[in-house]
Amino acid sequence: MEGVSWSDSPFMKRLGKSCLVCAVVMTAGGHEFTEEEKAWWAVQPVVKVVVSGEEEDAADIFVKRKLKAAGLKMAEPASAEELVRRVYFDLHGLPPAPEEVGDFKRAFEDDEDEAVEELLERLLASPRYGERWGQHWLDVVRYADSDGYRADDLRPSAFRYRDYVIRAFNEDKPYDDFVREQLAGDEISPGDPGKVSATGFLRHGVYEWNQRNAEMQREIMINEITNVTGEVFLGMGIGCAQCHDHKFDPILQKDYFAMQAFLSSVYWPDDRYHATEAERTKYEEDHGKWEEATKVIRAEMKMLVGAGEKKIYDLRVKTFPPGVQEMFGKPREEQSAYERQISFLVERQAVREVRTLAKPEQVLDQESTERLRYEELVEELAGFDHLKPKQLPGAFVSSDTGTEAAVVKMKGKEVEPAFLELLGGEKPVIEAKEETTGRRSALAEWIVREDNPFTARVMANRIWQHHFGNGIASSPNDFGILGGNPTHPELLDWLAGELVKGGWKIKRMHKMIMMSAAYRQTARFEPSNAHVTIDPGNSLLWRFPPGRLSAEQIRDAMLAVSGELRHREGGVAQGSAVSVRSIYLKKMRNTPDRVLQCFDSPSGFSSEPDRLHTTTPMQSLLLANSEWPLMRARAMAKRVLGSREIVTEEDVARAYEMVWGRRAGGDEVELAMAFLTRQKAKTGDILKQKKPGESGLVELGDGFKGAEGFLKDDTVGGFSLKAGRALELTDAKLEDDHFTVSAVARLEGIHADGRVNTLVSQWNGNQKSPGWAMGVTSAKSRYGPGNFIVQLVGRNSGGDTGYEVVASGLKVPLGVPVFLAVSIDPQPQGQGKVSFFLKDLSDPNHAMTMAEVSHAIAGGILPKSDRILVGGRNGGTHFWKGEVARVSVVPKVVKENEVAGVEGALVDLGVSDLKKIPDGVRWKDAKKDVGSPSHEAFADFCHALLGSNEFLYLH
Amino acid sequence: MNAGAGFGGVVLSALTGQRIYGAGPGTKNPVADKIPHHLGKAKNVIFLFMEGGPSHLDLFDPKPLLNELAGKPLPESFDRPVTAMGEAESPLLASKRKWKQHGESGLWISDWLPKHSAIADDLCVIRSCVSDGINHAGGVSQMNTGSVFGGRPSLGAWVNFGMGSVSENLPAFVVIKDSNSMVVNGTRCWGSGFMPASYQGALFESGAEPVANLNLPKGVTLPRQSGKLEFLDQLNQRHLAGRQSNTELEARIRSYELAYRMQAEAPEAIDLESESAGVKSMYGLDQDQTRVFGRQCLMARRLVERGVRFVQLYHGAGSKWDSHSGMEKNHSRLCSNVDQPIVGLIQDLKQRGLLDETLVIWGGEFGRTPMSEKGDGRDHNPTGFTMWMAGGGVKGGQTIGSTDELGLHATEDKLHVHDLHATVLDLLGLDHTKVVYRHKGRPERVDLNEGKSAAETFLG
Repeated sequence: MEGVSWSDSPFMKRLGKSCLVCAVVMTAGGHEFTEEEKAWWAVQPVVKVVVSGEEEDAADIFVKRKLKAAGLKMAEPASAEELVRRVYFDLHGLPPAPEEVGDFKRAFEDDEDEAVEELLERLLASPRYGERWGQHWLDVVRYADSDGYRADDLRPSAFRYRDYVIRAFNEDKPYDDFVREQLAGDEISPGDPGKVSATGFLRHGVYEWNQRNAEMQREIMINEITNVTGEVFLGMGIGCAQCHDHKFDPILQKDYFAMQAFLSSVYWPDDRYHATEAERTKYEEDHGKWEEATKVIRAEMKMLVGAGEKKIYDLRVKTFPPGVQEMFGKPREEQSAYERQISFLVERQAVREVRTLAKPEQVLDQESTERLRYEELVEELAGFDHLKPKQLPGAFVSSDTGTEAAVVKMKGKEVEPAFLELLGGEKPVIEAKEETTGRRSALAEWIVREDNPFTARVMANRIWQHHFGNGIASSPNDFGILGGNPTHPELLDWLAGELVKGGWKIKRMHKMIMMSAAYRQTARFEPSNAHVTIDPGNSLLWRFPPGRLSAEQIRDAMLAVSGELRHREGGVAQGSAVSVRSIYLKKMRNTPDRVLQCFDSPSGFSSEPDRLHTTTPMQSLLLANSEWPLMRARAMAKRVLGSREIVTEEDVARAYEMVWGRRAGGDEVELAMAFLTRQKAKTGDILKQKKPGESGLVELGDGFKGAEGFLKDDTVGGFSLKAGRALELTDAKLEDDHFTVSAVARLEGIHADGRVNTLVSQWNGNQKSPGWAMGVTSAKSRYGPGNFIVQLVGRNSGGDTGYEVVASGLKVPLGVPVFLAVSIDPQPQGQGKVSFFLKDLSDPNHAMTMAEVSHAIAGGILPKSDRILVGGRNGGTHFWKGEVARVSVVPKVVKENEVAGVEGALVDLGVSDLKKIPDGVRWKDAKKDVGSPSHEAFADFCHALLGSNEFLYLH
Repeated sequence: MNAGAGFGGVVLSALTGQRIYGAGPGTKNPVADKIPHHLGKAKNVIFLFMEGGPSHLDLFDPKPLLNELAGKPLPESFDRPVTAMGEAESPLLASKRKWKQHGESGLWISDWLPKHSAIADDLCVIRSCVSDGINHAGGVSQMNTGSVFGGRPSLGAWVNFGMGSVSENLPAFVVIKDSNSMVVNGTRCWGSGFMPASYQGALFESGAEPVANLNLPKGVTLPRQSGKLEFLDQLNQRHLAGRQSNTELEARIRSYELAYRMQAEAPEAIDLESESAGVKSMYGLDQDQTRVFGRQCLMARRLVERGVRFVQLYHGAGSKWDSHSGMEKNHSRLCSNVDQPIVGLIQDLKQRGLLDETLVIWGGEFGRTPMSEKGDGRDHNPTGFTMWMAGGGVKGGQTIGSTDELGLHATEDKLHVHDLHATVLDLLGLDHTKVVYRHKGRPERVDLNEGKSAAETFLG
């Protein structure tokens, strides 16, 4: 069966229904457009609007004209404080720091226009801008980092698209190129991985990993791509015309399929690299050498496991319907484009199955000679690792299955690519590219043509919408009749015209809009009866529209004021606990981040042009009771107070200013001081136990004497871990289980029982869950007291989880500074080893001692959730009874002569770093985060500020 | 989203995310929209979701021909469906159940649910259900949201949107699972899709914290928390002065109050200690095998009593009813988990006079195939399967629709999931064609504009 139209499809037949989208009975073809349809505003050419006077004021001319006609006028200009906060949140999604507010206020007093202009330029030039405006775009393109559906598999390379978008905004990429690259980056610049990443746009739709109805699945994919393309770039709810002529708009079913014909050959290759042509060639060359050298070994390996793999593969293929199996069975060169798409979907499932169900340890019996032979071969193969080039990073891109197009049919007839009938139904000239149909490029070119009535209007409207909270056309994804008419059609056309005139540059548009009086008016204006009667929704802009912060703004702003926010330049998506901006968090469709979801971040199943702004008790519960905001408040308290116990009025004023962006006025400071006094009395009862000093640092002075050469800096001191305090290195993430850990520490005494004095670990102590720990044995250990050991839990060569104590036999001296290091190096065949290094630093003549001990753990020792801890292990009492002065983790195995070095270290913390707990490190035990009564009361004050309306709303 | 609102509707509309820029006298109160379109008997819904797909062929839809043809392939005359595991050509699997007619109505129920005999005359069994999802993800998604794809509001959210909330202190839509396992597709099964989050279901856990963030932060005492919230309220009241036109601000102040009240009420609502031993035993709380689901059912009754509109109970969360192999063992155990609790729930609702206004729905995302899988299991069957309803005005003791002679395809009175959803709204007094939510400029309905209510047949 060739490409089919929706109504002819097996899916529709099975449903036996008319339409999934609208309550309409399908009409037969042959459509005469009525005069009314032809007059639809969105298809009229963009009118070249001529404005008199200064061009910067043009937006205001239209806004004022409408207000005047309604007998209303704009509100007063916003104050410097109100404006600067608005601009920061608008362009960066972050609050201005108190100093930035101060600077702006001074400049504003000097010259308002110049101050605003300078501010806009500065903010638009910052990388924070793309992180904010990129988010708007990600909403519209239904971006997510997972498949959706049941398995909700992670899309590990989807972030390339996210980074592309952020970069595009930051670089002020012309919007026409932005469109071209997303639809056809692979056709336009096949050699530029940055631009090819843009085609991720075509594969953000959900994917069901086990859908055996492959034909339906393809249909769903292609329809989804067609619909989203219409919504995103053309502001057209074209999906409504999927099974019949659009009920409300002059879009024909024929238009739908003609549009789909541009996109019908898309597929989602899984074997592409994010690399330049040259990098790829080099890689393939090097890999070819490795392949050549290992040919015999790999052939034998294949012989051993091939049959088992094939069995699983074939079993999966057999679960598909017979017709699908038939297409899949054809030789590739005989397959049509459609059949290739179907085969790709089958292949994808079969490969996933082999990957998960046909691992060597699954297809070869543990004790069999084949298995033993296979393991030998693995070892032999490893001998050629020096020839093997580093794997190129994967790409998340789309392409066509070939130069031939997958045929689209409607009611049995082939439909050629064409543009909207209402606009003349022009047929494009299409040239096939080297590996693709060239159709998507043709579509992109049509979309960005200057006479396309939709494109510039749609984007200009989106820009306006995100500045003012509402679009000029209120339904940004659907300019159809149901979407309503624009409130200021001339303004919209003027903006659209300017967008094109300015070379499709977006930053210029921001400046133009944000310099306007409409944007710079205050939100602090209470409507009179006249306003409420004439324009209750403020669509005429008689004041700046107040609004709540978005989910990302709330989370990011909290991290910013608490001082915890860490900026980065793109990269792999992060877990929720990491203090990066929300746009960098892993967006899992089935398990969204709780804070973001609670504040209406969209789930990523479909294009979302605007956000809801709900107010729910669940949000209040989260703000008041969950640990997350409270931790931000505590961090903020610490940031303001440092180690001081006496809270001053300046501290209070500072906190107000950090959170609200303005100087406290009236009796606000007094009010807070009174609260602090009351609150302090209420916090006392939970703090029975006296905690160590602010940093936990215990100056030992002589305690680390002799260690100078091994310390990171000149401070000869140590960090007390005696009470079971452990430091969590929240950001240090080992990617590979071959690494080296070293430390300068002092062990004051050992436990009287069998507990291990754990110095550095990444383990919860459970012998069934992966992890590692470096420590020293205690009095009742089977390995004798004072033995320098490593505990490992990981996969043994049989694929089962194993626990092993690797004991060095080196005895750690007590009460003196020592240098301790281990290099952990598991091997797949179970012949791995741990190298131990020990030096007594109190004795200048003591030479570094070393031990090499083998073990049977083959790998998989890095736990998923546990972080690296210094001073103990997760959730246990196996803590280090002593001090530490330096810790480093190097993500590679080192030789004896390199062991004291820290080149390429993931972490290297010295005493002076630890005096003030740096980013990415925190005290493990949350209870220990609790400060003194005055700190806790101040944290409560900060917490209240972070939950306050003045923080959550720009009003 | 813009909407005008009088003061009475101010908080409500702000709670639902509708932006209001100005408000004044004479504008429409959105509460008025919440009055039912016609008089439905049902006011609440309890949806017992058997996740993974229970076998209709072994519970409510006996097929003598299946046992006759056991071991043989599906006869040529039957359309081959696309099945999840490609079992269209596998031999037919006999049902080992003993079947009997129960109650005065003579309803067919198998010996896997022996206690159900007592409620046979309350059940309206629908044997002709049809869904589009051949896999769990699509099936569970459609049964909950009408669409096999994610992103749409769930049935509970639609009911919540259409009916409004009675309880101010409890969420209108509550979900309770039987284990820590997640329901297929996660929280979006009770999500609000494109509707405001205020319509979404709240997951109640049976542990120490029934609702996320309900408890005070660790180590923080009540006086301390109250002190902080009072201060926060002071800040917010001051901020509100001169900004009264922004009704979201007042709504947020109210939502802190609501949250506080919820903290007091939610634990009480699901605290079963005050129930008598007799009631507990009715629900099977005194038996190991029925305790878990019995607790869920009893909580459901307590929640409904307290004004919660829609309670959804998951049994077998994470596709536990899925029985591709070893169905005897799987279904024997699961049926014994739910048999007594369901009977207890129906009888308890009845004795309290709540059954008339509470619609109880039972079913999974699909049924199972007459063809075998792996010798002793059955594959997914969305083309014909059984669900039942009780209460809410529905006439008990009747069987609606039928499947073919092997129970593979629904034949008479097909009830597609869209029809089911339309029917549920109808039974609640809502016209499903009028419960419309505008999204991206388009009017959206629970049934994707496809459903037809069968309420008339159900009411008998």
